[in-house]
Amino acid sequence: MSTDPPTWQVLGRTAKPARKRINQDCYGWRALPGGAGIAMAVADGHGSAGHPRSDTGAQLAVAAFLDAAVALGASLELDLSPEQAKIRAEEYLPGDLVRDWRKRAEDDLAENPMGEDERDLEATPVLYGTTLIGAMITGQLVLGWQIGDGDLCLLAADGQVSTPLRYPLENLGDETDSLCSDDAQRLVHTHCAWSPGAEPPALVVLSTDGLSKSFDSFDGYLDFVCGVYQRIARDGEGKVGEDMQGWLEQASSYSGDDTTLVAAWPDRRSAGPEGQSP
Amino acid sequence: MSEIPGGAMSHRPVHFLWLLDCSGSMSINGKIESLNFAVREAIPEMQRVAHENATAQLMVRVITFSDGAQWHVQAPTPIDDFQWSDVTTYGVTDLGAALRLAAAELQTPPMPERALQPVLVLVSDGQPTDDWRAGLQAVDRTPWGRLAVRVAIAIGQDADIPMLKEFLANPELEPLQAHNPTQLVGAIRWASTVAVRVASTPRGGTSAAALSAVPSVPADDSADIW
Repeated sequence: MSTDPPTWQVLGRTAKPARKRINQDCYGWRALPGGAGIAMAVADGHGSAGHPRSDTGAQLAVAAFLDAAVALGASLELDLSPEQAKIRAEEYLPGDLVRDWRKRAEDDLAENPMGEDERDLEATPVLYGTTLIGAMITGQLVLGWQIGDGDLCLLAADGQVSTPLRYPLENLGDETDSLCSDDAQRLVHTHCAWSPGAEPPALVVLSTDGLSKSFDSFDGYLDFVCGVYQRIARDGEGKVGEDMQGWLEQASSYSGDDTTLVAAWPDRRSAGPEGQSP
Repeated sequence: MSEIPGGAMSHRPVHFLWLLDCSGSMSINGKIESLNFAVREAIPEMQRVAHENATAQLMVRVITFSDGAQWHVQAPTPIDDFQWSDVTTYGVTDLGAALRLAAAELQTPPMPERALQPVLVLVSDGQPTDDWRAGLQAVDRTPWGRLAVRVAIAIGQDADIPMLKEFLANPELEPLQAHNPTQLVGAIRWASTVAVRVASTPRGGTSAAALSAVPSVPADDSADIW
């Protein structure tokens, strides 16, 4: 992996409700080779009794996605046309991602066989069930992938906010599509925008559903995203980074769910070659 | 820490809907008095369960059905503010009308997208007199109706068990059967606590399998009067 400095600043934080023993969310990011951009992801392990290894599943999902995105980024350097890039993003990456995640889950299960307390449960990959949202931003491409609930939010330089992978009524209550679904590849939604010469997004936010569901309305969540951007501009990323942990803890106390956010914005300084959940 | 940006935050709502049979047959042998007593007794238990999981906001409504269906409590009412006023009996058993009334509330809107699973508790002592299947289909066509945690309570020997099982829409679940006031109190308490606990825990901390567990209601059939 290249250690060339990316042109993106990244902030990632996660919090769990006080009543929960472990946090089953995960986040991570990685610079694309040659400083071409950045890939980032959040995953939300299902956490229920039928998915006792979903915290591991979420970690595997983020790792699998970042590997797939970096591979896609490397292939983009080989003068891939916009059309080919779109095909790779929409048709190949979801399949590669699902297969790789399942392989990692099977490997984990081989290393850590099912215990007595898991005797009555379905075997892999259900044990590891998780959602995933991933994004990759280069100078010309904004790509997003999502299976299950959670939000990908793009804030344009003119202040316009969009959620291109949001499908209202698709994941109501706590029902959600999952990487462990039999038809997981088909359930991956993809966003692909090619805009040579256009300004990149001013802010890209991925968050698990514990964040947006803590607000009275989805508009309240969009206001939060806009507010984060304004605070970064006003107070600096250091202050926002300090505050974000408390904000997410506050959100998780309302939603009752693990709450995770990773945000990226163009910047002169380096985010470092990679980062992930603590 | 500076103030969090964005809109107002609140706990996710759990909408709990009683569907109560108030047909004329419910006036026999003190059934309706027992039902009023049982629901009133269940309220503190519901409040206790709601306080156990403070991240969910339990909102209660009541539909009664007899000749047609009507709201007994129409506004979603926080359980801490919920007070029971007795229901009374008359007429026939238009369950279909009640289910259609419920179905209209199980759309988004009015249900907020961020809500947790709703809870539907149906209590009946007899055979529906209208097209209840059309009403049930209306519920099943709604996104929240399909997700709802459902509990059915059969009062007495004349209750339509196959209909109640169809309402439950889960072959692993059975209607709770109450043949005397003590059993009805137990069934109502169980329905209003276990179902709320299942519905109000984000992402399954309490297994939905809890709903298939048999509640601990007295099984002494010498006391049966219904």
